[in-house]
Amino acid sequence: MVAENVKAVRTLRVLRFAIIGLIVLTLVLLAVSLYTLFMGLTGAVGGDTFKLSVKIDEATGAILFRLDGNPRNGGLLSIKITFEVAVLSLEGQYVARNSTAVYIEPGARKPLTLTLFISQEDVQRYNLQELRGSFEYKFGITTLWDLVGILQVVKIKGGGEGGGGT
Amino acid sequence: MRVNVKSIIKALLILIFLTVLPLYGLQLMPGEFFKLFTMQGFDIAGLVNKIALIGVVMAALVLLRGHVQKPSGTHLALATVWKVFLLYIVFFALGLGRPETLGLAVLGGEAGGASNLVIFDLRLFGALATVIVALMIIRSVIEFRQIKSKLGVQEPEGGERTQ
Repeated sequence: MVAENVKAVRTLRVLRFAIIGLIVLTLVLLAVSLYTLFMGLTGAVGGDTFKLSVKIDEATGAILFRLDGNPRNGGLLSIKITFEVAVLSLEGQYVARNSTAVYIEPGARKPLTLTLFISQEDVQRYNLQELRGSFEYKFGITTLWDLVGILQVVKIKGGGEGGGGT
Repeated sequence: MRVNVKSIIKALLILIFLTVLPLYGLQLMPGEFFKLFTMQGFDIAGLVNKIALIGVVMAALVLLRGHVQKPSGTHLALATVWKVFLLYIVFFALGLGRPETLGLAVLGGEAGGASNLVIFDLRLFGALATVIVALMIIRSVIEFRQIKSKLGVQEPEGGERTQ
């Protein structure tokens, strides 16, 4: 009976410290990761960090999207920034899609380039010169071994009947 | 039954801060605010109503916990319900008013042929909170058994009896 009681007291003590430790760990991880995400976001979307250019070849009609960036990580943990751009047809099929990802250490800056090329054949096949179909872009920022993150998904429908329908 | 004034005051304060004030604040909120939040895919009225309901449940639990004797099965059951309810509040906060997402909050909506969604992935903290609550429940059970054995409580088949 006494031995059982001692064992229970020990178990209770271990559980008490485990619970306190886990609560502190959770709160610290929450604060650090949210701060890192916020600082990563401000370093990624603030100022002239990203430049988007669209070039249309007058002779062939081919379209080239180019996204150049130099995001900075002002947080306490390393972050992963992902970008995905895509052009979809009126039927919702992907005409062109490309993505890139970059890991940035705390306090560091890393260049990022993403290009999306749509050939002349695809432009004509999907009537993209009349801005039919839709444009989709995804911007993600994760930290803490990709366990915590924010993802933004933007879809812009162009002209044409029925829009992008994705 | 003993009257626990402390728990009554606590329950009243919870009701005032989580139920009465949010509902009153909702009445004072201008219509433009609702439109703005709705455009962002955020149901502010629904969120406030859920918070008010949480306030009512929390106040009821505080009141019940304050009026139950400690080394009893009812107290253990209430303590367990209280912990699970706290876990619900964590998921409610992580999911920005939608606990069923288990920490994957989605904001945004569609307007004029364009959609903009922002997804917050905070499921890790939901998982950690679940582990913490599970440990807390285990601790409560061990504590309850220890107190019962200390008091020399016997549990006959089909019910419980305190000697």
